[in-house]
Amino acid sequence: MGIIRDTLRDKVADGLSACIGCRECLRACPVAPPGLRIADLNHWTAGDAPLAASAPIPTPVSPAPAATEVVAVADAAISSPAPPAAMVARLAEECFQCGMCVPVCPSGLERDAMVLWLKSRLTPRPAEYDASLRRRGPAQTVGEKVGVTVHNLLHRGRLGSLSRHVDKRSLQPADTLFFFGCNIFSTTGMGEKILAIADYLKCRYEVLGGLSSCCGWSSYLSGDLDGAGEMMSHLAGRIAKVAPKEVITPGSECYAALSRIAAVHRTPFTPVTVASWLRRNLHRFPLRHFPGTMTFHDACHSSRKLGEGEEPRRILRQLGALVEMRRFGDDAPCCGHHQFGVNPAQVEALRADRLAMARDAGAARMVVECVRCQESFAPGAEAAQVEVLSLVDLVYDLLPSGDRPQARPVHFAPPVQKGDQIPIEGM
Amino acid sequence: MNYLIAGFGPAGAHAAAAIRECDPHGAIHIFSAERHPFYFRAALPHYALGHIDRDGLWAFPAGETERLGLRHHPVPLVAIDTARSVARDAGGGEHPWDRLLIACGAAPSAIGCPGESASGVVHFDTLDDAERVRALCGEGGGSPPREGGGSPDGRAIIAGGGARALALAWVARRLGMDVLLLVPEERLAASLLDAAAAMLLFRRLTDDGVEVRLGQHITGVEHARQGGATAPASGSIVVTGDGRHHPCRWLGVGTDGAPGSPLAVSAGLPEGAVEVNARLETRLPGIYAAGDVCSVREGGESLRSGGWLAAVTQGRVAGLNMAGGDATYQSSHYYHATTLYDLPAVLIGACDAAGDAAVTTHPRGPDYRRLVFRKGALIGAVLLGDRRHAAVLRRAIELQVDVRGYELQMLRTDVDLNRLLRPSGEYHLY
Repeated sequence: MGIIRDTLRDKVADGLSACIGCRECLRACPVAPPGLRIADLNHWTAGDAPLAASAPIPTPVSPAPAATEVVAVADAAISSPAPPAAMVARLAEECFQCGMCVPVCPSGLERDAMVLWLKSRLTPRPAEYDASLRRRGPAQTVGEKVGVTVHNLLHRGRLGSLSRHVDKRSLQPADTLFFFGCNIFSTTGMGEKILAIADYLKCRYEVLGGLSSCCGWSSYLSGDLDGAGEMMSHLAGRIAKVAPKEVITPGSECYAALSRIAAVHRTPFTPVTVASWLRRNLHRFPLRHFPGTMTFHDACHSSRKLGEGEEPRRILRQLGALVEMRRFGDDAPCCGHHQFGVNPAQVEALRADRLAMARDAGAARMVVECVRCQESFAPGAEAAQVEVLSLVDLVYDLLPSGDRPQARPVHFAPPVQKGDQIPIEGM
Repeated sequence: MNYLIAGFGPAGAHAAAAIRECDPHGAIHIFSAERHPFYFRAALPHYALGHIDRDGLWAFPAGETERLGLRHHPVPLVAIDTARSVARDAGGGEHPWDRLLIACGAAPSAIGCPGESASGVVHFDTLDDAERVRALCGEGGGSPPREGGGSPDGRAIIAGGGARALALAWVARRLGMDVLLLVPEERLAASLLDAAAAMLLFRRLTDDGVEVRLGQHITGVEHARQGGATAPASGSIVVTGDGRHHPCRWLGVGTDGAPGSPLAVSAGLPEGAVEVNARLETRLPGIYAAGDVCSVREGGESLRSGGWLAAVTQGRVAGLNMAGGDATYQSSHYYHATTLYDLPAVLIGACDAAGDAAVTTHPRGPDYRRLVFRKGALIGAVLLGDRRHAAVLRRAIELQVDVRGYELQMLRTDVDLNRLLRPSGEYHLY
């Protein structure tokens, strides 16, 4: 469990030494407060001391310019009156770990890891984080167990056939394991469609889902390093009971967690994105071309950080006309999901901007791979006049109607406003 | 205790901070030729392009110099008297020392030919140089590359083929100049890259519109006296060894300065790179050296590391030892990530060692990597273009992981190499 913290501490020490101060990371960052100096950011990043939560700073909601654009930084924009510590804390709170800062760094340092280190020291932790993340992972206390039970009772009803997989105790050995974790409660209905596709393919599988089997990566991205380590260890044990050859997941962050578990724990399985699984089996579906033009939104972890961005595109090229947005691949902006509602107006602006890019590209549909991206973009789709759907939705539509269970109504919450209670992710 | 530090770059500044960690009361005096406080020297290309302003260039947070109790003298040290333990600055002032650090960097860039000091010749070593480059490029800072129309007024000539020249070429190109790069060696970045990697870099420059001529020595620089089609309205004419005359608006000197320092020689140390042991001690008691000025003697070999990270690390080790600590610098853990022109490059460990096996990607591929192995362990790596897995490769070298059977897989960027680190329990996303 301490390895995550130790690895991060080493990365921070290396990064502080290697930083040449070019500020490219902050120029690429969609949430960096204007005027934040690298010297101050580095100064506060060093060490283990708690970092006081930030004082309010007026933050422009317009997205940052593309990393590839050359834009002179006006002197006026630099002279912010906010104290450096407050700006650093603000960055730590609002950073959603998209990693846009990493490829632009000429010294190859991982600024996202350095900001994660800051997040782990935020005192107190932003209330929005814990409102979003509480009750995940193996329940430790009686109160947590009661909370999870009540939660499951309340939500099982709308999960249909998926409900039998929620936090189930008995797991059967299988070569294929579908891992949904807390995404089993996703309002996208992605889990149910995936299992319908698997049934069509006559795949023998086991399913792992529920709050207790959360992969922990969201907690990791919030700076709860020890909690994340516990969740990953717990999940590794659950996966070992199934002894699968491959673990397939529709969550981009879950894919990162599974990759880590496969590499670190002695559980010999291959993590697979749902896109890779679908692409591998695409020849087994009655293929057809979808009308209109589609574009693809890259998910941060599976596509940008772990280099799986080509698989979804191979599917889309077979199913219709694919166009790229102005920013794609390594330059694709994040949906902002893992800001956990700290600055809703900022994230909504980023999402609206992304949907506008899809529209500007002439795409009628913006296809996503990750369940989190779909949840993030779908509420604004109608206003943007762009349909947001997942790869799973597309492939599911290929199935003969008799193989498609009756779809549950899909509901997306309206954009969150500051001060709203943030629901547990996936609920 | 009286500490004297020659140079206020990364090595000198981090040495000062390390000294203060161990010795809260000692007097720390820093001498440098520049009047500016410690700044991010390696960010000068970004400063020249307007990506950061002057305030953003200072590498210490506000008040740090005072908090550390450093006294900055904007005058260089020029001589060391070891018998009296006194150093003399360029103004004639004498300063006693108990411990002295030579951290004044490599010698300034130079091409060593007549006319080098003419007005149209600019270097790229300091903050003031960067401002001059920006001024010489004229308006249009931050604009995308445009063609200078082939006229001498729109052309910059840059001498050198190393990291500094490539950075200057990148800046000039981004600021809208036509760029002719005159490289004395037979390949680009000859001290960093092998021939295949250098060819990839060559292709990148020419694709971006930079004219590159290899094996070209500058023999003279003349002041242009008239404008017109063949000479700039004001600027220089660069003469190369083959007798050709190249008119340009300005000549940028990007040759890498030779290691060594007259200051070290004045103390009785040999010419060339100042040799130190792993504790960063010279052979003279109480005198240390760190950064680009030195080479570290380790295992019978004398190795120059170079780069910002090495300077920071060496400065810290030297500072700790100057204040009575016991720290060592391991050049085998050398890690240098940089950008050559606009291509990411990473050099790790003994990347130019022979080893007992080496594998490389196809030389005409879009990216390049070379991995060197010894006794089943990775000992060095060069990545150019795609630097995915650099963190894993670095840790594999540091942990001396047995990678037998994985050599070819390690060349691929689409394989998760984290499994190599399983015994350590680490996981690296990038």
